Amino acid sequence: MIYLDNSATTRPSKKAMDAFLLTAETHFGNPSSVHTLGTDAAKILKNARNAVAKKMHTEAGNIVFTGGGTMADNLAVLGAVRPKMGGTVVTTAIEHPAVMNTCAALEKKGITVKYVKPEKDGNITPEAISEALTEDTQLVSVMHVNNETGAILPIEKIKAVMAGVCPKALLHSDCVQSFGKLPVLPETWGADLISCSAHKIHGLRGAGALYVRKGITLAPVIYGGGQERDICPGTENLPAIAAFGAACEEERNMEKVKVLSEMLLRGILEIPHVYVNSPEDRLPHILNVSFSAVPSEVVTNALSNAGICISGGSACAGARKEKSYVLRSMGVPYPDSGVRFSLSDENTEEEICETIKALKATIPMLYMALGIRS
Amino acid sequence: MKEIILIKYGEIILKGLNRHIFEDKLVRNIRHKVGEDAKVYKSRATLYAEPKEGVNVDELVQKIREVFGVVYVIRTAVCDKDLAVIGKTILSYVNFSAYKTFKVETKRADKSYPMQSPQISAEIGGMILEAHPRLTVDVHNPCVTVSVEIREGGAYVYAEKQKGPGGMPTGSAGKVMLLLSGGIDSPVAGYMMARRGTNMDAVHFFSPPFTSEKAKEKVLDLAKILARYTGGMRVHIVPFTEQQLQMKAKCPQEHLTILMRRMMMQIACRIAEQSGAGAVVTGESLGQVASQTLEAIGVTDACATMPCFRPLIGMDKEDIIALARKIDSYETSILPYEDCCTIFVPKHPTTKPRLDKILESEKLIDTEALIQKAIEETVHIDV
Repeated sequence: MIYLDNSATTRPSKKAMDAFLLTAETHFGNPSSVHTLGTDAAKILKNARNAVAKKMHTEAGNIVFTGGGTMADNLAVLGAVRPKMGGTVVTTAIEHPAVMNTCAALEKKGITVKYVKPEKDGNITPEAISEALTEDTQLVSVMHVNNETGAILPIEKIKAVMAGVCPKALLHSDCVQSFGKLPVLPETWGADLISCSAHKIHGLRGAGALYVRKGITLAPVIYGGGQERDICPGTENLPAIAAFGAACEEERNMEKVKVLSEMLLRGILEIPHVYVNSPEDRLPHILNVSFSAVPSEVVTNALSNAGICISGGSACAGARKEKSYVLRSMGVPYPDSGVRFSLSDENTEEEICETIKALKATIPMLYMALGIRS
Repeated sequence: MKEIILIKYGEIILKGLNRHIFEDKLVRNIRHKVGEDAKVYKSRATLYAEPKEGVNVDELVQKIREVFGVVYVIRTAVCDKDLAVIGKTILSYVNFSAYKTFKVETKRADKSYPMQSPQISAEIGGMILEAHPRLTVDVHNPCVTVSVEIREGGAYVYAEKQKGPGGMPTGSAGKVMLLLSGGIDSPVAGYMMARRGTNMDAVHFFSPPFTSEKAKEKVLDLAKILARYTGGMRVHIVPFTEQQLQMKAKCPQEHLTILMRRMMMQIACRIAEQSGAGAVVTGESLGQVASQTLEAIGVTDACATMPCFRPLIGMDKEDIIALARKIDSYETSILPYEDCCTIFVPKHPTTKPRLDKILESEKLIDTEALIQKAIEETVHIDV
């Protein structure tokens, strides 16, 4: 089995699993308890928080653990916007549903949401954001790396254009796909809120984090017993959080992913009628292409039968019949045919060769079956 | 209080000399359904289920209500034949506060009992009126009918009947082969045939990579739902990619749908023969899609080697959906892992095919070899 769906989720690393098991079996106390087991657990929580903070070059006090990326996005967007104050939220047309649908919920509460369209290559320019900004913009939410195309969006420059029009607006960035792969530096960028997730970086599901810049008060979305600065109350999912910390401490070989990704792209380009949907300067981990009009799910099924796991668009779209709104908004020639290869440094050259070989054997057959002539 | 469950059956009573075969089948099916929970036996035109100690009677009733052939299930209290005891039992067993009018009906099977039926009814009625002065008697159109049966072993009293599914006992009508697609219609067609007492296998055609593993899983889930009604089911999964590709490459595009249906029909008939089934069942409804016009069905049936039943033929989609909800298959059917057979659907399919033309198209491929190949590669799964 060749796993090229690392943007959907990753295999938990050995260290993450060790931390998970040790915490679940031995240090199972509640971090809020005052006895030894509790203080023990609190120490693990603190270490994990330090590890995440270190990765973002910030202080541990700015990190709030959440149940995952979607929850972090929800807490950020719903917590940052005050519907009663009216005004606008500026986001993009290519956000993950966790941000997109949360913004849609705000629209129902009377907030005007502007969804900035991407360029043809999937990028969002600071100028395009700037045009959407108004004085009464409350929040700008722009993802760092798009989950379908790997496009890297200019968060720091977006902050700069905000300063001119709406200096008080908050800047949120969904960094679920970039965290652990590119530098995610809220303080350098001047971002106020950053979401990330553990299971995309070889941790486990059920843990994520929200960077909340010091001095920012988020409106509560969940009510509870005060844990995680009352932004995400509830007994912490300590085993998953410990695994998250362990995963943050591991060094990942980015250069290798880049080499493999370029190799894959070269191989794919040898197949006729292929359209690359990812921009040139993409995150190497993600490569999105369309094989002419062959529907995404047909390519995915065919590769699955060959023992290769990829996804059509994003994994989240797989469960629905819905086609990729990201590719549609970019206006690529075959938006319903987009397939995503997402790599990690656990992949090998052999696997990439295998994949290219399988594609070269399968795709022409599918072209023929569907009457796509060379 | 001792309780017993009375099970009434309908149509079977109309059978002639072979009536006992159907009755015995029904008894066996109910026994199979309730397992160790109750003792099931037959006496005259009624079946009885005596719950074992500690068994939840509500659940037991529910189980029996799922058995085909059962028309009514009646929870009954059994008590001493003393009139005062009968009255007391009724008053505690029936929730009269829910009704405005009532009547009492008595059957006296034990002819040695000193009172006659109308007398018993009158006495019991009096006791009920005394306890619930608000109630009135209405012998023509009562809100509730309280029944008293005086038998050798005691008095049986009951007031509420619960409807069973009706139909005929499973296994009393032979075996059929259902074409199960994963849509809304075919599970309903299967249910309707099961209700008439058939055992059932299913055939599913799948076309990897054009249809996904998840779509296949969904079909197996549907088969499991149906198996609740049919008492087990074997699903024959037929790989159908090569066949479709050949047709697409070699035959006139507007004939693809009908050619595909004909090949499916032939494969289903052969698998049916091998499995001892006597008919093929489909979920077609007249005029629903191009392959379901009168002409298309005619051309398809021309290649069938056994009867093909279409229990939904005269039903509207809405009716079919209502039934699908009732049998619990709807939510699974509408999951979005649809077969992308749409890839093989021509833009303008023939809706009025002519058999001679279709036979000509069929000659462009090696039909027999393709059918053989499909049958050889078929995988059998028991759900």
